[in-house]
Amino acid sequence: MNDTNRALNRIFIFLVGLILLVVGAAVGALQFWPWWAARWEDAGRTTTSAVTDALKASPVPGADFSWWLLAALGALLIIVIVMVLIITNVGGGGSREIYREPIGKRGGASDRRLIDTTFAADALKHSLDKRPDLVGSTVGAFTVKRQPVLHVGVTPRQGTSPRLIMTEADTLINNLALVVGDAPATCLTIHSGLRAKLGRDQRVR
Amino acid sequence: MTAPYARIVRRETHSPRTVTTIVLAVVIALACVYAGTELVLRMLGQPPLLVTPEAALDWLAALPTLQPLGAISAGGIVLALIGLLLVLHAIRSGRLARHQMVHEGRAVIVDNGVLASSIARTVALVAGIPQSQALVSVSHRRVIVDVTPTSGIPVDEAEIRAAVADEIASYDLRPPVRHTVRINTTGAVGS
Repeated sequence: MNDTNRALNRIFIFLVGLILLVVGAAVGALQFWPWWAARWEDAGRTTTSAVTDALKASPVPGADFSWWLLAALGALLIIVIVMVLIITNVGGGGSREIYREPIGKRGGASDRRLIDTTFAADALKHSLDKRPDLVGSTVGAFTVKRQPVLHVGVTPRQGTSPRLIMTEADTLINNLALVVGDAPATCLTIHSGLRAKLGRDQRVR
Repeated sequence: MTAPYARIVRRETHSPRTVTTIVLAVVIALACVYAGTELVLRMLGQPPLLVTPEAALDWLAALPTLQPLGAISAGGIVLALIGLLLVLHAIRSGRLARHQMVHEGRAVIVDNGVLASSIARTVALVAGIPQSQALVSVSHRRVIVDVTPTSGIPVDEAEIRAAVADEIASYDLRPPVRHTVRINTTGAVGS
């Protein structure tokens, strides 16, 4: 539940896929479509001579290469930078506080009450880890539409009723709400983790 | 304070396509770095790593005259197929194997595997069979329960059906699921 721009991800994948599809189809058609192969050859010849002429016409003073090579290098650099931006754009959106509420400016310098994520996470994790029917838990917070949302992820043991897990987690979050004043917006995810699958089934007969 | 639960649920039940994006971006960046290296080597008058830029251009221009053309075409078709898969990957919904459980004031998301193992345990308890003889698969709109009775010990089909219906109803899933209970006619050899 991070801030990854999913639409951007999809647009990027779509564009790359489309380019591969078009280029691949163009190359794949060479064997089956003589007309197209002839066009490719013609275009190849004109392009090669045009590029050779252009390279000869624009030499860098004191070197045996063209300005065009520098331009091509610059273009590649820009593509690499865009790719790095795309990679770093993924993720993010974590929130350092789970709850904020304006309070009067009586006395205090701060006009907001903030509950730090680590405080809530520690408190919740401590309680969750004591449950015998859970094998793991993660607690964090994200900002969704400028609003902090507490995210609780639990991995129950095999066969545990998710309704039961939900009720338990609910109690814990309500207890937290008693401490911090109001129930934070919460997202609970119940995972079937690898550990739950591998863990021995505790069968009682 | 109304939390943006619809958005949270949507994001938790659909793939962000992050892995594909990162893989593609890394591959493209590496390819560009390689091409840039060849350009720089050419500028410095050094021998190329694999191929000079001029030779690469000539190869591309003369592609239809090269042999074996069949292999080149096959390569192109493979490339096009990868492209097609990526386009489909971008367009398809990317729904994850998860359900939303309706609960007031919270967004609750459950993996289908958790639902399946919980239903399986309920069935095993009600039917009095080992859990390995209760197979449950949960998909987006369907739950299929396969019960294999222990040989010689009949199971109460109506009771199992009622238990499964109750269990699923207690989850209150979105989207709702229909369920099918199948009792195998050949039992498992007793354990």
